[in-house]
Amino acid sequence: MITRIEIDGFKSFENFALDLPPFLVLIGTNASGKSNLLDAVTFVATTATRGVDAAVAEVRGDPRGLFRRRGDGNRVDRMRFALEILLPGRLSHLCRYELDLVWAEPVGAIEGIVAERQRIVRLGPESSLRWASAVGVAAEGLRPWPVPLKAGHVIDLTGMPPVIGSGATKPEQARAELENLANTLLHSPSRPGTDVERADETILAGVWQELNLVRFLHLEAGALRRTSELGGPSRMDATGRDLPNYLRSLMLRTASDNRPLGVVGDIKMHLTGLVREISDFTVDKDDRRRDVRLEFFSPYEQRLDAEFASDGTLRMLAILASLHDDGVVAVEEPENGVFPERLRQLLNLARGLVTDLRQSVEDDGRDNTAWHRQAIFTSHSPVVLDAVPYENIAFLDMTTVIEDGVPSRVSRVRRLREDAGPVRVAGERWPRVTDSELDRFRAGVEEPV
Amino acid sequence: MRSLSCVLIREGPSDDWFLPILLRRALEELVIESFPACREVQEVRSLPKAGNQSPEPVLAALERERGTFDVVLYHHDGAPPAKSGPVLERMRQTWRASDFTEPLVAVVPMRETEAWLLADQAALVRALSVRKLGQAPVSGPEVESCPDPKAVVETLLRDEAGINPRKTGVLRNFYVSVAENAGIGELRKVPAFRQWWNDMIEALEGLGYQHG
Repeated sequence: MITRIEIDGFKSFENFALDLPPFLVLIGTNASGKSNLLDAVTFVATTATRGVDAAVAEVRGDPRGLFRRRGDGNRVDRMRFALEILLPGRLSHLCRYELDLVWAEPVGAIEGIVAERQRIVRLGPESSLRWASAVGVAAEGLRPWPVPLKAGHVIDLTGMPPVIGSGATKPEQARAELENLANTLLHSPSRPGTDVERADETILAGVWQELNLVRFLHLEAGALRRTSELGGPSRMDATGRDLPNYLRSLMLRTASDNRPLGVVGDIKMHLTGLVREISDFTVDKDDRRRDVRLEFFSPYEQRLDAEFASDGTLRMLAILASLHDDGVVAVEEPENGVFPERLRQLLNLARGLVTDLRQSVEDDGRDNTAWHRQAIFTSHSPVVLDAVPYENIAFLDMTTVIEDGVPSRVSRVRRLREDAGPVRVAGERWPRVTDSELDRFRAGVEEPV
Repeated sequence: MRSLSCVLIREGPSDDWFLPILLRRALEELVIESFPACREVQEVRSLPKAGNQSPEPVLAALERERGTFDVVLYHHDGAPPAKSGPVLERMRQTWRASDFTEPLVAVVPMRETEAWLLADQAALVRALSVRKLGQAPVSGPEVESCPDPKAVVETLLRDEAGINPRKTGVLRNFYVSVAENAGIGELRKVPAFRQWWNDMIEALEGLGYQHG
């Protein structure tokens, strides 16, 4: 679970920091930086796990265009990212992954984005307490690390290519190795090596896997309607392509003797509850066509191919599928094509599906070593203000910073003021959002007209 | 790092199309020129619920924003002076008597806000997407002598660009466009704007912005 993100120099961000609870909705007007924030999470996670070139391909914009443009038209030459991460196993110490990228023209190479610094810092217990307080979750459910390691310990990865991990060539192979390594180290104190070495390996494995599990959804109806190829990717891409294979993969990963569909059974139930026109769906493997396709069932039309399903149904299914998977899912504007009441229900459902640190491990009902589930939505919908507690909402807009006499517009983020709550909170750069601004957001206007 | 946050009490809804944007842009130039230690200018937030500008609802609206702003911008059109003067003075007295410590700075365009909208001809040309203005209206300091700036704006839209100002959204989008483009240097030639500029500098000096 990503507990905090800091960004400087990427797109519209300048010294930006945000603490992330397990469930968060980013609201704000157009061009306030909501999508840029999801881009940043995707960019740093993909850079760390698959390299800069893959990361550039995943986000909007060309390599140089990712660097923040100042008000005078010049772009900065440095991007700094930091992600603080809560590893599985409810371990109380956060890890901080830091990545500095610069625009450079290396000798003998073409110009481009170069990793200048990369490291992981193990933070002390006060970091998780601060985070728990900032986002309103209880820290009692967290437990200390199984191995002694002092806070502030640094795993310096500078000089390594900006892909952390074991050096495995294929991401899927590395994922399996590292996941296995992390679980082994956490639960087998007899493994050889010093405590520090073992902990370093564990942290590396854990951070890599957390970042590898980050998924960004900017769904497109055309992509959602497509069949998957047999043997094609098992991971749904940002547009929703390969949803059929993704559902099959979820099914296989979570099936049990008694529940052969695994979490896909849960997804079916929720989809039927949210989209009343649909009573069921199947994921069908067609060996003759060598593809995998979705088929929906409705009480009136019986069978319905994906290409005839409504945009809203397909979008809802893709979001539900992602919410039932491990790791971080970032969803862009879930309200598109969704009736407001259904959006309300989806938001409530999402809150219940993410990791709940307020529950004891026993009540949580999930494996103690399972990867956390976290959801970040962006939205323009006023429904958010009624359906989601204020502590789970962040408000983005633009502000002007003055740099060397040049005004530049940058994104800022603020929390919402609770009823009669404080306006200023320690550690927050700006006062909280007041009712006058929320009234405007509710009315759907950008300024008080 | 010093940051500047202002709230705006404005006279009418159409002022929200123009003043928050224009004043924020002006404040950016002002702090660059006079308060280099200030590193940030936040959006100017208008408070429509402050109502018709009688002091009570204004104070009530500001009470709900307490702690979120550094300066109150109090807008009232300056014509006729015999009518606007007492309103401004009543608000100033009420503010001084309140327990707020933030300064209140008056924003008083001569006659109507639209007078400031006319000040920069280049911005008008750009907003209207014309090569040049056929019949250039008053501009610069002379805008304060314009008896009916609103009528001039409507004439500009209709006669220069062939746009019906009565159509929904036309005036609003024109005001926003000019607010985003108007040269602050041109506006500073207008006496009433210059008065606000100087009052603002005095207010920020009183808050110690020159020290960072």
